[in-house]
Amino acid sequence: MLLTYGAFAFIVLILFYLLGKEAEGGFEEEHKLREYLNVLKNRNVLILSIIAFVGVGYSPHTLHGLNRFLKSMDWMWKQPG
Amino acid sequence: MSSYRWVVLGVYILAGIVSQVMWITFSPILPIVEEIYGVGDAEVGLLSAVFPIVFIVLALPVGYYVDRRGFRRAVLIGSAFFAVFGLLRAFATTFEALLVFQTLTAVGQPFIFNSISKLVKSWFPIEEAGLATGLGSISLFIGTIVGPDC
Repeated sequence: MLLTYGAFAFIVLILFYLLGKEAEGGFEEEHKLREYLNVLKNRNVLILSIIAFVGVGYSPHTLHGLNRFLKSMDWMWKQPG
Repeated sequence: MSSYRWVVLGVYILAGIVSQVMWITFSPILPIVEEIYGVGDAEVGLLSAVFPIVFIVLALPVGYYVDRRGFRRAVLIGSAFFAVFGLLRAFATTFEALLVFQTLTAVGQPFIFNSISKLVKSWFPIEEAGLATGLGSISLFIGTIVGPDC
């Protein structure tokens, strides 16, 4: 199953590479990767990401809540019909 | 306005489906994963929980990236994460390796989610923006539905 999913993902990657184009004039690639790295200097983005990571990513309550939610979904899928 | 926009949206929808399929992969086979790797409910639950956690952490920087580099590069990066690490999951011999590959697979999701508005804005006229966004978003739920049944 995992191999099938991986193969499907590869096919979609190739399809998007071949067919997924930017619109003409819709996006001008004027930004270099170096400019993107400036995001690390953007204090607001950095602080919000740290808060999200510490507050949500590491919270045992969040993990516990997510686990319960996922298990409830699992239970629903196992129901007959 | 080029009719090619529907092709672009179509391949985006496929990427969206893959995104959700990768997330939901383990939910129907949790007991099997527990048995194979000898782990408990909490550990195996992490395989699905890492997706929303990684998304929350990466949503803002990736959104910034999409603004700077366009949706094509973003979706390609996201799809590459799905393809490479999604496939590597099949070869994980330990639970720790599986969790690492699943976490790296999850990195692809914000690249897909955050790209829809950029795609719609650059390809579709304003009067079709709602329809295009709806079609793009619906792919996420199609993936969630078909994932466990594959």
